[in-house]
Amino acid sequence: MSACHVCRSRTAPAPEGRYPQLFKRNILDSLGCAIAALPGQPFQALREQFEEYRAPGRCTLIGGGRTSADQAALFNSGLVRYVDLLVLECGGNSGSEWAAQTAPDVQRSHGLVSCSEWTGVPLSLLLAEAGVRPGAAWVIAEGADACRMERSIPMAKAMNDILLAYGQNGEALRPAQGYPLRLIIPGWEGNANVKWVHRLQVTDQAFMARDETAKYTDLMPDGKARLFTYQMEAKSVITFPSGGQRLSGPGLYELTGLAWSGRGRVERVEITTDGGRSWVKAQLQEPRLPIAFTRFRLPWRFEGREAVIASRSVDESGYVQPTREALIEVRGTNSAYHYNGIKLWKVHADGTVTNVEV
Amino acid sequence: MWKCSALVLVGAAVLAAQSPKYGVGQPPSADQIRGLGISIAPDGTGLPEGSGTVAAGREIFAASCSRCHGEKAEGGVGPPLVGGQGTLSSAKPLKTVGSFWPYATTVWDYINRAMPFDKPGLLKPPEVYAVVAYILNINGIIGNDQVMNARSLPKVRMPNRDGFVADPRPDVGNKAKTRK
Repeated sequence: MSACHVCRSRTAPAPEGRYPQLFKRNILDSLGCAIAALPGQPFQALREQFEEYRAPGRCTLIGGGRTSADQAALFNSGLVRYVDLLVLECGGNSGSEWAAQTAPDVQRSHGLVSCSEWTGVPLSLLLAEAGVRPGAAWVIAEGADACRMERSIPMAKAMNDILLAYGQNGEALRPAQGYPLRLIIPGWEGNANVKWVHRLQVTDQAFMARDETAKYTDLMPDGKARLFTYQMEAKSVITFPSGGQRLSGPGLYELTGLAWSGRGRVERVEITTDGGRSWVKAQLQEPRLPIAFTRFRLPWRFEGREAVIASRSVDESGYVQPTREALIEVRGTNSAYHYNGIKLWKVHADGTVTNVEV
Repeated sequence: MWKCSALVLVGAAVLAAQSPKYGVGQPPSADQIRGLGISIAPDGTGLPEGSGTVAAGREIFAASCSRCHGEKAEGGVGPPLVGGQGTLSSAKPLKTVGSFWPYATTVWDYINRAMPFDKPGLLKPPEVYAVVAYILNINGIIGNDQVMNARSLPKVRMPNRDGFVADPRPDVGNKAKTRK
């Protein structure tokens, strides 16, 4: 299949400039896909192709002890191609809800999240290839962006399920998404998913970067802040009807929205249309993949009377998405990050939909 | 694409079971590592030579930092860098270098890697030491005559050094019984 793709590929429609470079890279990528599973000679031939076409840029793994995975963007495609559908959510997504549920629509209350098909090489494979010394406990990832974005990643997570990704939704990573390489850390806050990775340093200590101490720590009411709060928890939001939308009149509607959890699959989603007094199980769209958007639906008759609607998700770990009040009771209102409270929308008698605090 | 990927994954699993060594790449040279190595550990590992004084830092701050952070680092389009000590448990906490940041090395590292905002990398190591000295000084953390360098900086004890705790989550909603 991949060989056919290569044979059919032409540069003719490509514009001048850097596109031909991408074309070459895509061919190599496809070849890598086909040959990666084979031992011996073909892989050697692929490696020779790498040498011929290798582009500038480097990803260097420091501190491994034996070797380093240079030119990882190209070599990756010859190693193992791993594809996964994963949510990527900012640690600050819906953070404005800590203060009040005043965001006017879903985009502004919950818009810092997406779900993509990521392609990459398991970081564990590269680390094993480089060789990791006993006692190595952290991987310090650094981006090649202007501010050299840096985060410390525990070795246990690195050896578990982190991807060094070079593809998104079937194409090479776009520049804004971290081309040529970025970390994809399933279920963890977006900020830790360092883009434009140019260096991975294996160390015995966390480096206490600005974005893991001054930022992305959660300040509690007692003045202490929680450190290394990477995990994103179960969450959901009704997308229809939601703030800014309008129901044309009384009648039958389909409530729908998205649920996800950084801890795995969404087990069930419940919906209330009476402000939380009663909850009804929604229908979940299959397949329900771990740490991926899960669409939920529920038929609902709008009677033309004011209604407060909300959803709550339960993930496979048994975690139940909490109310805003339950979160605040424990964490106060100054923690800024990792808000995952139940999101209420108010459907007014005339069919308009707003947040509940207007 | 899915079929193709699935096929390769199966093959990859077999390969993984054989514990392959791909033999790709080569060890980076010391120069290559140095060229990429701007990460600073909290124990000071990675800090370069050079030193800076509070007085020198005051001048550099005025020239390169104050237009965003304010003349006295009180904040502007950039965040305030001073004050806030004692506010963390209040209704309006002010998180600054002085009140919140747990390690002085992080201040050095972040200024070095990311500041000034429009020209990251502009400041040379002695200038970074000086700016850090100035910011620590106006927060009352070091004296007027203290010099910051690779030895002294990691020894600076930040006021909020013990202000961080491990993540206890799930703290809410875990294993909650199905509500009525």
